[in-house]
Amino acid sequence: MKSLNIIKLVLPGVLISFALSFLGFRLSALHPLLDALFVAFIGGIIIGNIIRQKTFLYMGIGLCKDILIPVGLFLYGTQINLKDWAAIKSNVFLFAVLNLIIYLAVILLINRYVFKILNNKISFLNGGANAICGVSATAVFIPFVDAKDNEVTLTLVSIVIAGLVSVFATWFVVQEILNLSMQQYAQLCGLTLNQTGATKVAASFMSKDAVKIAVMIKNFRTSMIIPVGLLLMFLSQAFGGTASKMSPELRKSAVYYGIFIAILFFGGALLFSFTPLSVYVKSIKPTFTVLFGMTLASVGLLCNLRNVSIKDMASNTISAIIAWFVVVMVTVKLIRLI
Amino acid sequence: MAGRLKQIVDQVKAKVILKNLATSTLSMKLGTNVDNFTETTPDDPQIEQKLLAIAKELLGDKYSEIRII
Repeated sequence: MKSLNIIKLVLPGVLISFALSFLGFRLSALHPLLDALFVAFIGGIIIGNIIRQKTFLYMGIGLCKDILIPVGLFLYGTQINLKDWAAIKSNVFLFAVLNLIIYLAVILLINRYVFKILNNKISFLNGGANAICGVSATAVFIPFVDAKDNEVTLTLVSIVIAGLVSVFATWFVVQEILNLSMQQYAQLCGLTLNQTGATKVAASFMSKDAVKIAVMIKNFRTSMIIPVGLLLMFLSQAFGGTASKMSPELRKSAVYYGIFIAILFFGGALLFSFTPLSVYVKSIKPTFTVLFGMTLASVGLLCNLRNVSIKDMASNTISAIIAWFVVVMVTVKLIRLI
Repeated sequence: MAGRLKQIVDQVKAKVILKNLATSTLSMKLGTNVDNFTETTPDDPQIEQKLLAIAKELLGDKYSEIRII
């Protein structure tokens, strides 16, 4: 009887997340810009803001986050082929780390000193997520920084808008002016764009080979997700400004959680890169997409656009776009040097 | 005074494995999203009593480890 009640409580949130994720998965077949995870997340925001009283969704959303983030990260790991990294120039790895620092520093400085956003956790989340893999990174960072709904909403709005602006600006503005070679353009896409879908779309304007190189580099950035999560936890505790702090107990459990999901993520990557299991990578992809999409849909469902000011949304987005621009300028200089 | 509600939620989260499910249960039973409690959330004895009762139900034996400063 008790378990039946729990199922009843969990079902609405799980079903809505699944429906949104499945919709994203089906729509992704239509156009590369319709990235399944991205569509699931946007769907979550739309539905979450239509439904005013979300209490009945809480349990299902909680379960999706608890179970599907670790499972999704393991499956995400299976999609990363570590053997491919041998083909990437070693400098590119350093550029990815440098870009992370630039994203964090530029967004923090602009938010704090130009827009007077004193909650630095918002800047760190925004910088970290833009430097790693956008929406998915935000979902993973939430427990590391104990992010509140309004902080997550501000970050996600900025990622979506900055992502859309940057994907088209990369091809129609940056490439138009600089006329980079295929290799350089692919590196630029892989190193600077926030979403994997955005990386694929921007690189596809050039060629299929460019998509392959760009995604390889993007996968390396994604693999930094857990170390960056721990870095953001430290930064938001030490320099969080007016942001709410985590208790020492909660910090400790977040570190254990980080180690646990790091083992799952890299375990998945190692197992499916260097063992005969690698033949199953393609067949796992739909399962990964739907399950991780459910996580992102559930994060989107909790975003409350009414609770954040338009001024803060605009400011945070402008900071992300300026940071992307600075990152592009630095990256172009560097990739032209190698 | 402020911050006691956040302390309770943080301690519950630190004591369970499925943290989101725990906070969802607290939120659902309390009727407000407890994830949004911060150090500046004003203390409210009525909500605190309700929150502690739900925490007791949720944590079982571990409830005795909850300490609020």
